[in-house]
Amino acid sequence: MNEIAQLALESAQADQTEVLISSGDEHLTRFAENTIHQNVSERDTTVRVRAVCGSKVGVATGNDISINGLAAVVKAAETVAGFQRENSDFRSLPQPQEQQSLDAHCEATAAYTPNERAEGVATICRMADKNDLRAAGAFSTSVQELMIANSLGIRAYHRNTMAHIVTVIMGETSSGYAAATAMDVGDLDPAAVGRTAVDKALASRDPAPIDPGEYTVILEEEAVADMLFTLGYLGFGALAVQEKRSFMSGHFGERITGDNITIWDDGGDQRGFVLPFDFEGVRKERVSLIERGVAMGVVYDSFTAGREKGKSSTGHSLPAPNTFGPIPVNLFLAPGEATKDEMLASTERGIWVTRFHYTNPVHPTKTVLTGMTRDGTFLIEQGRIVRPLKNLRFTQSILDAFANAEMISSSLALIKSGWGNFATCVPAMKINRFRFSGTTEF
Amino acid sequence: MRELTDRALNLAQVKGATYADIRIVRRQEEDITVKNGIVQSLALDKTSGFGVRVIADGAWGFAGSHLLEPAEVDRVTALAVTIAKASAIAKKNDVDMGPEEVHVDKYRTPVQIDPFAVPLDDKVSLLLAADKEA
Repeated sequence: MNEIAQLALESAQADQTEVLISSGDEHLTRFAENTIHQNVSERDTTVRVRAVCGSKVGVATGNDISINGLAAVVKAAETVAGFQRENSDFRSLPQPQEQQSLDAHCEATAAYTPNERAEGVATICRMADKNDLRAAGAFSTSVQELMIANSLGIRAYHRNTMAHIVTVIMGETSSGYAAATAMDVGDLDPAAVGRTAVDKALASRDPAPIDPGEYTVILEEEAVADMLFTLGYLGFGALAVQEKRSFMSGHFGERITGDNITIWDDGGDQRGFVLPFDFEGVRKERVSLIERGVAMGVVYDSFTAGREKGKSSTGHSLPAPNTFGPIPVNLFLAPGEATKDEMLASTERGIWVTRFHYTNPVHPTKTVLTGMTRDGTFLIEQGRIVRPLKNLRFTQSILDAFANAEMISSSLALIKSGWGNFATCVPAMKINRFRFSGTTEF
Repeated sequence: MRELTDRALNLAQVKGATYADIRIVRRQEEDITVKNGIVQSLALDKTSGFGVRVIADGAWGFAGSHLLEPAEVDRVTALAVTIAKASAIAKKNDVDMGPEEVHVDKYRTPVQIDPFAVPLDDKVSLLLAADKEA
């Protein structure tokens, strides 16, 4: 990959040039109705060139890594930059710095075969079959290499593997969900994932309705991750603050949620999906976002840092051209001291939520999110799950919900995000006065 | 190109596929984003690759790659057959493609104006003007 980057940079004529090379194999086995219906493998190498002429920036991508192909994509980026307008906010591509090398590659994941993926899926399908249920889902493994080089001297290289298995298992009146993700495919247990989803599907048969309103909830990690990831893209990035649409704007140093809530981003923490640098090749810093309820900081890339005196990139850029701004993609929410069993036993009346579905922001600066419960929603009475419930719509401020967190689990779970090879690391939570605004018939 | 497609189809049959197809794709995309009077992004994307889809042991398998070269065509085709045979581990019924049909044809979407022939500057100016009016 170094050679590809070097060839590209050598053909560049622009004032500054950046080359981002992403290469890898992705394997995906999808299933539905207890059978594999799509089983695919893809190998690709993409070269993304950012050409800077003055303060005009053009981007071109291609996957022809021949000498002529590389020259063509560099020329395309420079041509495109010529059609740009000057952007007075653009300062420079990042300068070189010392890089950190972090282990994120597992040979077992890289070598995992189609047969092994199919056997894992078959295990889940057989469980579903045995219980007259229908399983759907996916089992994926991937190997990725990432290299960023620029004409100022940045050279950053990283390789990683990821394995992910997810299933929704359905009955006539019910469904159950389970998922697992890890760098090492050996850490995944398809049978355990299948067992969890089957048990939820069986337990949630013939759900009863419940009125909307405010309830105590126990949110499993998938639901908490959904809310945390939403906070991440809504307002933990500097562009959102600069455009005055972040819930952090004007509140740095102030309490904005519960004092038992601490959130940070750390690409170097081995409990998450390790990523030592961002997509400009800038080393990722650990950024404290919320510390014991107090708004502390947001993440930056080189462009947003250049707009504020005294700021430098925290290593959170996305691939160019990036109109989203810097985003934290290695979020952590601090654990507490409780177990889920203790949360359950302590709940007089409440709702157990497996996960949320189709969530969307209603009000970004108030962090109001709406969405549905799904795949395992249960009524809790006197410390026990007593019956399954029909799903509900919630409309709730995330920061207010976190402020009402009575208990937080001592364990963390790694939850893959809905896009990209990113994940959050979160606990489960018992939250009081969680607002459900509507009901469903299923 | 015909040499490579024939190579893939023949190898798939040798490896045990009862059906095989190969698609070679070239894709071009242009993206321009204007926000608050600034051209936030201007990007051109050109990629190509191929994919081989097969039925073996009554199940589907697919593999693809960006490298359209003989050795890679061989690797990808063999992998597609391996994947199909793995899929058969969790199948209920054999894939049924229906009665055989043979067609040799070409299709081209009728285009009045090629969007890539429109000057980039015209597109950027149009977006900036629209942004100014908003």
